[in-house]
Amino acid sequence: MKRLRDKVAVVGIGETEYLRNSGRRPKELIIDAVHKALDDAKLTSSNIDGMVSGFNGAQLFSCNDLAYNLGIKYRFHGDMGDFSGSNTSSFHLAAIAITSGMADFALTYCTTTYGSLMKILDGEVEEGTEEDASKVVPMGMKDSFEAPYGSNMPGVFFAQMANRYMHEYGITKEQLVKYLGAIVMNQRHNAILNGKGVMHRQLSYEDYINSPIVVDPLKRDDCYVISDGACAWIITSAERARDCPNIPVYVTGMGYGCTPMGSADAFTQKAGGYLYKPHESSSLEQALQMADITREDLSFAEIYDSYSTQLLLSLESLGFCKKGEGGPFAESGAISLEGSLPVNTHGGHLSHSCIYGATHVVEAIHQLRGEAGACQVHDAKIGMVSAGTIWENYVTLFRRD
Amino acid sequence: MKEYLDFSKGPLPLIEDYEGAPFWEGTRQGEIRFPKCQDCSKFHWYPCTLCPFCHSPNIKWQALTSQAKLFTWSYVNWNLPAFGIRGPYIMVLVEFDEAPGFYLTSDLVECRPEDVSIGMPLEVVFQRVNDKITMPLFKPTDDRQS
Repeated sequence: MKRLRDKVAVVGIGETEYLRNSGRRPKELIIDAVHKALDDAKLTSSNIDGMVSGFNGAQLFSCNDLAYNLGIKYRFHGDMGDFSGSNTSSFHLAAIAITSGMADFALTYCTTTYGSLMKILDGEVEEGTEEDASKVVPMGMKDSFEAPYGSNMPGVFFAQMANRYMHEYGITKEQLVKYLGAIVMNQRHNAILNGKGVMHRQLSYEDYINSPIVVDPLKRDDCYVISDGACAWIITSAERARDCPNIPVYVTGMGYGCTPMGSADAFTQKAGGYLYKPHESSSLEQALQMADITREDLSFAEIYDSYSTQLLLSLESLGFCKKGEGGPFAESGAISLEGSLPVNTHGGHLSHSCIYGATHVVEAIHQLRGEAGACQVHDAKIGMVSAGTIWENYVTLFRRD
Repeated sequence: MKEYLDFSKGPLPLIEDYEGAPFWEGTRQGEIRFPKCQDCSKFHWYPCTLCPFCHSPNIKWQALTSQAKLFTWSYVNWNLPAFGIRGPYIMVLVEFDEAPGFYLTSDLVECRPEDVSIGMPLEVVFQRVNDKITMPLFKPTDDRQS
């Protein structure tokens, strides 16, 4: 994969406002984000000739419908809408399309309308409407063998993992709460500095420990925030990127890892690793190899974080610290903006917004262009985005000149 | 048969026309049955078309007879009716000695949250919901309580 190193670059990013219950339809959000990405790149829709949809993008607004609305004529299309890894997986597909000449400018878009979804659950919006489309992800055997017992809420799975984790590493609940608190407070701090997300209220450790329990030991503030929003980005060849107005942000490393497992095995079986996903570290190794760098070269890392426990386990899986030591690593301040590995510099899913990792990509680009404002990591040169599902993981490494 | 939990408001399992149906046939007869490969003699869970170990199609459902243990758990103490969640209850992943590395999801009954410990031996109890559905639940084994 080394021959793909630095061959494509991100030249435009767009993001909507992030709000709870925005009242905006997914199509409006997507069009808003795409317009902003085009403006950012100083391109028009007539320049776009490749479409790569991310999770919940194409499900809610198909590529051809979006293209019809915007007047895009495309000659390459790929749907990477495979759950939570799709924001980073788009770079794999776009790199193939662009380096092989199948497209010159590829557009990716993602959205989440959980804020509106909550209105449906609260009975405020009629079911079957567009906002309702993301409500039910058919889970097959999980519907029969897990849901009747009350598990159809991801927090249950992550609480079960937390209890097992404490058992395996001899960590007390008091210690775990301190560790998770360190992660949650760090991301809230970043989100407040970023200012564009949905959480703006300071969170003290006392506030955190008094936050209501969702599924013990997880508290409300250990869970992703409910939000509406959309992101879009435009990828092109390195040569074309140098003619675009923004500082090119090159895709310098890409990695993919997968552990085959049954369709119902996610979260509740040993297949794929119960606590640790081997494909998380293998995808990072592959990306580092392609970029010819080491973990120490990373200026920051944006890591998928729907639950604080998920981030804790990922820090260990990805090899930034030893297994069982993610807590002390987080507590040491290593993951803060001034630390050795600033993590989720915009606040992540826990405090900024939850667009399935799409904001993690946008934030990485902001950081490398030096436009991350109060969250700016000093002298950021290479950044990592990691996202995936239980059975697979994508890592993308970005670099600036 | 004792009613341990109220299943009337939440979602119920599909019990016909899908690959998990033999499980529910087993629970109606008071057994926990898992698919077992007849070639390599290993159980697996969830049901697969081919054995995940040796990839043989020669799979039959058989009753598990070994000790069940609590692999991990979560205490759910809230309500979100749209998700079918009505707490409080204790969810468990149960591991059987005969099928290591595979976990059956269920609820733990007749046990207080403060008495739960990972690795504790469990025994199955069955709750009949209707003519077709019997839900397996777990409680701490009797000798633990004595």
